[in-house]
Amino acid sequence: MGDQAGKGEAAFAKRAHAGALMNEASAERAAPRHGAGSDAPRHGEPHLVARRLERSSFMAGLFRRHWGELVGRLRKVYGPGPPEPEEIAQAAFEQIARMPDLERIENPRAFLFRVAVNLAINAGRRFARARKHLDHARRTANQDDLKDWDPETVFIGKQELGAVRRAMDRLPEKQKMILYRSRIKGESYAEIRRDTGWSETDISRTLTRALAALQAAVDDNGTDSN
Amino acid sequence: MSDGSGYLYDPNRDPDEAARQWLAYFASGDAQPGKDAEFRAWLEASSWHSEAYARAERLWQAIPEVDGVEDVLNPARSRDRLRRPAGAFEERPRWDGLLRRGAAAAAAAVLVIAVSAVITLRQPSSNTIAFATAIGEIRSVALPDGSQIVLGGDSAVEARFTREVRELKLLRGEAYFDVVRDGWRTFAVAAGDVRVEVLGTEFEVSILPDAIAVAVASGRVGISDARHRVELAPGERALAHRGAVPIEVGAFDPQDEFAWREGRLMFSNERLADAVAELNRYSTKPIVLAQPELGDIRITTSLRTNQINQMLAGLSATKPVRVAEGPDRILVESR
Repeated sequence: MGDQAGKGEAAFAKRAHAGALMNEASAERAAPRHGAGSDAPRHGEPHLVARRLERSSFMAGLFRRHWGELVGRLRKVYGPGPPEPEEIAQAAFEQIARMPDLERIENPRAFLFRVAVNLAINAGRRFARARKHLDHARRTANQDDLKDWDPETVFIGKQELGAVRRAMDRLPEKQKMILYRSRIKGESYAEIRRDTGWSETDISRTLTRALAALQAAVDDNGTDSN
Repeated sequence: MSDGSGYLYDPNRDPDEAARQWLAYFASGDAQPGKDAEFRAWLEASSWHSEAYARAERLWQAIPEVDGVEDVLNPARSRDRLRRPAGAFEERPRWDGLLRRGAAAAAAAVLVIAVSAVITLRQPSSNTIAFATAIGEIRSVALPDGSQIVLGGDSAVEARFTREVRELKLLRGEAYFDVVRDGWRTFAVAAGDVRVEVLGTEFEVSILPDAIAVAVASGRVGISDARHRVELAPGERALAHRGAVPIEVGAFDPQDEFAWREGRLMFSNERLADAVAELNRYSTKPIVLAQPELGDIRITTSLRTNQINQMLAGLSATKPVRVAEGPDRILVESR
């Protein structure tokens, strides 16, 4: 077990070079985050050193525990690539390592998969403009606590995720399939239509319905003891 | 269907529903920048709207976090259930059941046709585009993905774009590639037996008489020939000699190397053979070296592409060569 983890870390280091290719993509996302770090302690102070050690042991632990599983899941969803599952996983670890506030990650395994999925399907590209407008709208409305809603770093609690999972399991097959293709595989409606024959209006309506059902599960979570 | 209007926002819906419709619109992969103003106006109309959108996106972001999401939404299983006629009418066959099965068969046939159509579309011949320049011409070309190519004189490039790859082939001459990153879609340039692969960067590929040169302006570039592979950083230039010896990597001066894009040719301690190959892409009459060993003379000079004759005159003054212009060629011979 320990031996396997050691091999994994060597692979991680080896891939760091190849990973440089991806930096441009992930660096973009790790760009300045509002409100973060304004009261950060200055370089060299003891608690900062401690924090840095904490960070690196957090990353090492995350890596040891989840690298293998993450690569396996990515291979299952996206096949052998390119990009290879290892490349995506590598980019995901790099992106997390650059996050300013690791301690806010409640559920590292789940978050890791989210980051990897977003990288694999280049989700940022599709939603970048929407995100920019939302940001602007929030700022003009003087809702300056942006960090609390920034979709990249806001986490849904474990309980809520459980509720989403149960609701997801109950979705009609068509909704499941469209949700999977759109959110996990990153397929466009045109691609989904090509494979299934469903019209884009139909796909949109079905996806919206699935999202409504999942949102209802989140909203009801407080009262639902299911 | 391309303007996506079929799934746009209905103002009478409640904010959460509208937010989901907007989210679905952006997820479609067909969101047009032209609709941005409408989205912004909706967002800014009320903080309920921006809150609703943030909530919708929070859920959207969380979906991959669901434990075993790929199994819960298992597409293989879903597809089976959707495609296979439901068990209900297997047990109680009725006329409409038979009709439905007929319809299913027809649908399957349509699917097969659709799939073969897609495969046909992916054939190289149908989506290959080619660009070429005449001698002396320098041309800038925009590719469908937003990348740019600057083609040197007497150069040719072929491009094939599919969903997975952007494949280009430098057939002759030289080209400067300014590649826009497109997610994970590789941008590959083949020249002879050399293959260059990038995601997003700027680099130049030149076909020289006995080597292929790749010079990188920004980003990282992977280069391979039949036997070797190197990775270049900005400011590095590789020379690949048809797999015979390992790929050479050295530094270069971008001001010299990329000057041809502005119609200036610069040679710094360059082999005459390589310089002549480049000059010939801009010279109205081909320059010919009478003795192959002349090719090893080193030259350092700078000229505009329309000053080749003056440059050759200078050459005969400083090097042990004589330049003779004939009716259809310029001969450089030793003296």
